[in-house]
Amino acid sequence: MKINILTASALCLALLGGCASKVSKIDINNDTGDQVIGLDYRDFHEAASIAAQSMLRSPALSKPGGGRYILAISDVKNDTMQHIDTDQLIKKIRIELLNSGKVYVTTAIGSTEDKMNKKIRELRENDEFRNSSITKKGTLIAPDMSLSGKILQRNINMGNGKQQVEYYFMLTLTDLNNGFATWEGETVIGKRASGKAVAW
Amino acid sequence: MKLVISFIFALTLLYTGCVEKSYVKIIDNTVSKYVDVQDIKERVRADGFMEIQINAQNDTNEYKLFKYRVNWQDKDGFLIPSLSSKWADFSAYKNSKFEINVVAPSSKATAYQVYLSE
Repeated sequence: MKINILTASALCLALLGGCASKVSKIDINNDTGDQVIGLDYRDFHEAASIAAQSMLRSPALSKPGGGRYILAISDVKNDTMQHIDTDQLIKKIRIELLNSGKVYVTTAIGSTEDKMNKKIRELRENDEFRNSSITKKGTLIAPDMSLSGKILQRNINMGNGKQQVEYYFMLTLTDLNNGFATWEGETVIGKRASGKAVAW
Repeated sequence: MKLVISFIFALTLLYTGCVEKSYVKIIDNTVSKYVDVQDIKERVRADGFMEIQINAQNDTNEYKLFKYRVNWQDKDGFLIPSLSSKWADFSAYKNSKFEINVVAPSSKATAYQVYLSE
């Protein structure tokens, strides 16, 4: 009797273990997994790649006489129904532009501000810190250009039990000296799925 | 003298062998059935960035979707990291020519390898 109970328990545990869902790691270099109705890393990569290529192709980032523009990241709004961080898009573009040698991104001002820029300068009032080791006044460089935009989502009921979800990645580069938009880009990523799929 | 010439020749071969050459390669047999690469244009723009354009044709009666990616190297043959090194979708309309245009991620890029796949 005891052996039967033990055997039955062992069998149950084995079955439960087999039913538990297995976790596998995504190969991000060759992801053949199904599409999802929301935005995933593949969509951000695609949108960032298209935007970065367009910016590099445009004369807007070619500084006359050579050198780099100073770029500030302004507001990039998430106008979708999803909890996403627009840095998922912007960071990739920043890396590509920085590596291109055409821009420096400033973290002294803008949505990607690094508070340490300000904090380090507050140390001038603190006698604990050697004054000569603290950044001098007037060393921060103001930006020449600004990158702003939004990610927009539109849901369309197709009427046949399916829905269409459109994502618009809209970006603008502004010349801060005169307020002109010197580059504009828009990438559309569309998905279709069952009307029961949730796009948020 | 002959030894010196042979040595210089061998060194030249060694150097050119180390630096990856530029090419377009279709790595999928399925893609090679409908993509006919006709021409590869390259230029260095005024800002020093290399720009390439692959001119190809889809000779089939069907619209085709495939993928491409581009690896870029500097003069020493080192890979330059870039968003374009990951697969990107590209579409080719039926019975039509198409162009894949890519700008290098850096002015240091001197060579490229373009891969086309299903």
